[in-house]
Formats: sequence, C-alpha cells, structure tokens
Amino acid sequence: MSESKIKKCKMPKCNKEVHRNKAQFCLEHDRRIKGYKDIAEKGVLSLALVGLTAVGRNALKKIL
Amino acid sequence: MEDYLIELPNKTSFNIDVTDSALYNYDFNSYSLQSLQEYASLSVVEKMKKSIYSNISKVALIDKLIQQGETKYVADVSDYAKEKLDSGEWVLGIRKKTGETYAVIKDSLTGRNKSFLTLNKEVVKDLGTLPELSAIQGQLASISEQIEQLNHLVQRVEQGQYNDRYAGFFSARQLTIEALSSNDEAIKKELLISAVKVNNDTIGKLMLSLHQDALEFIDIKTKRKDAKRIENILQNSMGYLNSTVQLNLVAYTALGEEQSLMATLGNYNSFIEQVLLQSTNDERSVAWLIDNAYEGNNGRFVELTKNVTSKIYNLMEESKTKRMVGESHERIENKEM
Repeated sequence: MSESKIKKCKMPKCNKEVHRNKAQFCLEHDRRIKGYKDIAEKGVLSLALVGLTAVGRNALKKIL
Repeated sequence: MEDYLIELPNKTSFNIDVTDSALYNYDFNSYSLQSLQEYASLSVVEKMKKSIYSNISKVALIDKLIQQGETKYVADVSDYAKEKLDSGEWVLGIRKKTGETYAVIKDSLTGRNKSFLTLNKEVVKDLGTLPELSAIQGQLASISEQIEQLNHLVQRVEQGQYNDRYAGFFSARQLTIEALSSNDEAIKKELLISAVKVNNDTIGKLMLSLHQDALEFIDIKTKRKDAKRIENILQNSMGYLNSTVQLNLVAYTALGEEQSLMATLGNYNSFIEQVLLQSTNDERSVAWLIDNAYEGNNGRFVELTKNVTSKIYNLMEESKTKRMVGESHERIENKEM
C-alpha cells in the first residue's frame, strides 16, 4: 500500500498544498500563472499577426 | 448542562443605554454584538424572576426558603435575609439537579448554598425553557466569539448590488436595539419578531450568494482580477451572515425561545457543513479551496469554520440530551412547595 504524500506548491515561499492531485501549484499561484500564460499567448498572437501582416504586405508589393 | 445553578440578582441593570454610540457602529469592520447579547441574557433573568414571583410573592418565597436555612439564631430571620439579599451578600437562584428544579439562596461571597426548596410543578411549567436558555448563555457567548473571529478575515469593500443584502443587518440591528430598550412587553415582542424576520430574509439571501460566489472563487477559470473582487464580496457576505446570525441569537434569547435559537444555530451549522466543509469531487472542501486560493499563507477559513461548527454541534447535542432527560422527568411528581 503506497502512502499518499502531501504535495506542496512549487512556488518559492509558498507553504500551501497543491489544489489538485495533478497540479504543481496551489490555486492562488496556478491562477496567477494561468494569467501570465494568457498574457503571453495574447502577446505571441499579436506578434504573429504583425509578422503576417508584414509578410503579406511584402508579398503584395512583389506581386504589384 | 443537565445540572445548573442560575443566579437571579436582586437588581439587574437591565436598562439599555440608547445614547451609547457604540451600539450603532458603522465602521464596516467587525460588528461586535456582545453588549446586545448581554442585554438579551439579562432580559431572560428578568423574565425568570417575573415568572417565579407571579406564582409566589418574593416575600413568601424568601420566608419559605429561610425556614429551612441556617439563620435560626437571628431574631427576625425574614428581615435579616431580606437585608442580606438587598445588599447582594446573598443571592436568589434557580438550581436544577437530577431533573428537579429548586429555588436557592446562595452566599455570593463563599458560593455556598444556604438553603433550597423544591419548586412546584406549576412554577416549573411557567418557567418553561428559560432556565436552560439562561444556562447556555456562556456557551452562546463562546460561539459568538468564534463567529466574530471569522469576521476578522473580512476586508470590507461594499459592492452596490450587495448593499440590499447587507442593509438587512443594519435594519435588524436597529430593530433589536429598539426592542431591547422598549418598556412595553408587547412592543418589545413585536419588534423582536420583526428583527427575526429581517434576519432570516438576510440570512437566506447571503447564504445563496455565498454559495455561488464561493464556487466562482475556487474555479481556476476565474481570472485573478475577478477572483480578488469575488474574494472581497465573499468575505463581506460571510461577515454579514455571521453578524446576522448573532443578531438572531440575541433576538431569540430576548424572546426566551430556546428551541428557535437552536434552529437558528442548526441552520447556520448546516450551511457551513454542507456548503463550505463538505468535500468536493477532489476530496477538498470549498473552505479548503478558499484558503488555498487566498492570496498569502494566512487562510484560516477551514480552522475557524470547523471551530464554530464543533461548538454549535456540542451545544445542540446537549440540548437534545437535556430535552430527552426533561421528558422522562416530567412523569415524576415534584414535591409541593
């Protein structure tokens, strides 16, 4: 029989347990990280859009 | 709590000071209702005194008590006893032991009982549950203290759409203050009943919004900014719920209704147990997840809610046992006074 270990949040200085068995962080930090991820995703998406517009503009210039 | 002794002091400073601004606290932090609870508990003592003296005059009761007492060396025993009672050296009390209710003269300095007399059936029936209600005042104060500790978590930020719910507390508090300060028993009763109605309305609304807000707060999909806003609302609602429950306890104490008071506690206890402390699918309770989502390491929601529920549970269990004991003793004839 395996003993269930208490999994602590991986954020430094945080003493809380993880909020789900498969989670790495407590709910507070998981939410915070998810927030950063969302911002990063939005940033990448915006950059990709800018890049695509630039590529498209160059391609259009070449055609015309 | 089956056996107890309640003192019935000669003079109870029962008059509530309506000019005391502390009664009308609007600092939106924690609302201490301790003074109101004390007034309500004194009103129970007054009711018991009225109930006893309406069946037998105070003079007759003292005379009968001292006939069995130890004061036989004094020439005029009655006057001597009355003097001692007036000075507060002796105090009248009600004592319940092994199911029987006695009138007692107690020495307030030594704590010794000087004399006691079995109260007749009619007096006991008239007293109803008032002695029990008076005897649990200490435990109620301890529960109120625990409930107030829950309020200290609160960071008050008033939200427009919740103000109608929170306003119920102020309305009921004012009704309770006005009731306790009224000299007319009928007006007092009516105001207290109105306060209970407003309280129950507020309690219902707050419980429902707490349930919804708690689920939203512990949902990982809720964004951090929204979670912060919900956390404030959640703490606010919890604070007002606790204060409103305390107000209901004050109102039922003043009304002398022990079972209704237990029903208020039972409702609050069930809400905490079923909504906040019951485990979700992930074997974590909502209260645990609230602490887990709380910013910082100081979340004490689980600890405090568990303390409150265990205290309420003990009190309710005692009340249940007491009722069962009381029922079996009803069949036993009391000695006539």
